[in-house]
Amino acid sequence: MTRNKPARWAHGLATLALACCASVLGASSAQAAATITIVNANEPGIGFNDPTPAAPVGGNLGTTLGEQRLIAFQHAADIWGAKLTSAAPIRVDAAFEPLECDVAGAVLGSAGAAEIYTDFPNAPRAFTWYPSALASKLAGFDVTLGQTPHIFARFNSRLGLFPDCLPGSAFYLGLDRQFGTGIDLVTVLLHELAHGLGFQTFTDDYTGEQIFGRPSIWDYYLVDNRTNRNWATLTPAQRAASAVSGNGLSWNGPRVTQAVPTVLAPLSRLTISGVPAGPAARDYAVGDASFGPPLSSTAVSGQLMPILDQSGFDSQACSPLSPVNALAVRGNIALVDRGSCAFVVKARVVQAAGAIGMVVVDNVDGDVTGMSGADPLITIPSVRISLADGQALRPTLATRTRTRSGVVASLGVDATRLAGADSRRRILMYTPTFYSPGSTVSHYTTEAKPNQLMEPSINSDLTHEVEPPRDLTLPLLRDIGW
Amino acid sequence: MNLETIMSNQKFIKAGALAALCTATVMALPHARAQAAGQEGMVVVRDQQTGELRAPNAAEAAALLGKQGLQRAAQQRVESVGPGGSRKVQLGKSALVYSVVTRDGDGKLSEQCVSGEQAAHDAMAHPTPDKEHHHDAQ
Repeated sequence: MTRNKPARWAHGLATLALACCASVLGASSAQAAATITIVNANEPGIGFNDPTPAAPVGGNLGTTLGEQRLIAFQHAADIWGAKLTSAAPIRVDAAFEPLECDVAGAVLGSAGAAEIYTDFPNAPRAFTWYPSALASKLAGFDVTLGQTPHIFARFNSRLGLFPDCLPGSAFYLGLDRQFGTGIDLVTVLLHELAHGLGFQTFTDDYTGEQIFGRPSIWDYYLVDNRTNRNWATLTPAQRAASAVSGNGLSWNGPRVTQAVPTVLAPLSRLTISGVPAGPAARDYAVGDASFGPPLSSTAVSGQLMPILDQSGFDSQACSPLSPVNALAVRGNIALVDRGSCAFVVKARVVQAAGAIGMVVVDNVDGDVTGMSGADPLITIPSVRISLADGQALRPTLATRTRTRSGVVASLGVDATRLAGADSRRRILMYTPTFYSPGSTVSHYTTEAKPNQLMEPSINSDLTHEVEPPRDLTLPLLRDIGW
Repeated sequence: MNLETIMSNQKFIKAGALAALCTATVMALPHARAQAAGQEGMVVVRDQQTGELRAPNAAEAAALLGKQGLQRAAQQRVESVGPGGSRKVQLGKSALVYSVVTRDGDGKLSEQCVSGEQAAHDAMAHPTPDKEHHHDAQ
């Protein structure tokens, strides 16, 4: 359903376009404005033109489903429009249309640059690809001459509205993030529009091949943090290898790097000490929990005590602990296996038994990962460690008594490191070690804390902020020329 | 806009060279098995030492997915040259980044962002393993 015909564009702009100009700007932001025009590519009666009546929701006062979709689009475009500058209006060819979905999954939508340009007037770098919206900003005029959109955006019109399309999980069209069990459309739009504005490389992630042998502007700031060489200078094979290197790529742009310390939190860690720990006494990488208090420079320390498997009781802390286990963890830090129930359940269980902290050992191999969930009644800190690290720790607990192990666990932070940054305090990019087709280096690492808008998975704790002190998306766009 | 449209010979030279490279590399991995591109999202190789199936390393993945890379390269991108020497390429859907959501057996939604329509299809069928996500609920 992608259309890109001049005649249609003329028609669309004349009759259906909705100019989304950031019009209410203070003196300090008067220079920060770009006009983002949402060009409605839907036919009458569908998508943005769906006449299904809708009640106002979360500040979205549209009276039909189509109107509310358009208002949500406009809201996301306004957020970007207020932060960016360009003399050339940015056109987004947008539509809601049926996209792939079934009862358990769906394509929410897609977006990206429609065209890329090199060697246009005022191009900062020669022989380098820029997305057309950015090229137009830098050139000072619309390099497409109004003939094509700068960004394509397509979103799923059936999501959550039909029994065969992820029923019960429709787009939340409100503007206030109170999305409940729905999917916050504005957040998804902010993410996807950022890709279209230039938060992407046009170099192939899989092969490392550049388009017509030329790098993207992105590639000059994407550096192999082991060699400190940027992607533009690497061979295709080196680029492909670095894309699946596991934290091997960082963003080296000055604006992002300057903002990193104000956005990213110190790196959480588990420190093990005590004579019985032997060679296992060291710092361990941990995944943070979204529930309970965050780890801080004031570490929570205690004896590390495992939950034991006993007949009739749950060794994974999914149900109230046996008296023996409760005695073991009381006033100590509980070591719990992952599995069988949510992390928040485990935290509630060990907290109820008197534990002052929880360490969850993963049950599958792999890198350390965080824990989601919410429960305001949880007051103890929790972390997750890898299966390998858990296996290294368990033998050190073999000589424990019923209340002491001699192995001291401290849940705190490493003030010298930032979560999601390399040793030089540059933010890491997404480079999983487990290869997944479609995975792209055009995202920030999943290890960032707090979660960032441009991670490869959209997390529920995101705000609609795109700049420091909450987010690093805008600084990256500035690095590439915005 | 008076544009001269050209096809890049460079692209075809590259495609040919890459095809030869990938053929040789895949042949050098007789124990590797990859599910056909476009059918599955997961790629595994059989470790020659242990006999176990495992995720490919970077070099293996690049070799196994060479076919997919060739398909992308063969999308007949056209470069247009403007009067001032500027050049442009229309990307179409090839550069779109897709957001995909899946619901697991416990009703938890997981979103992931992937590059390309085929990857989006694969992501629906085979969500990225939990280990690649920032947060799991259990």
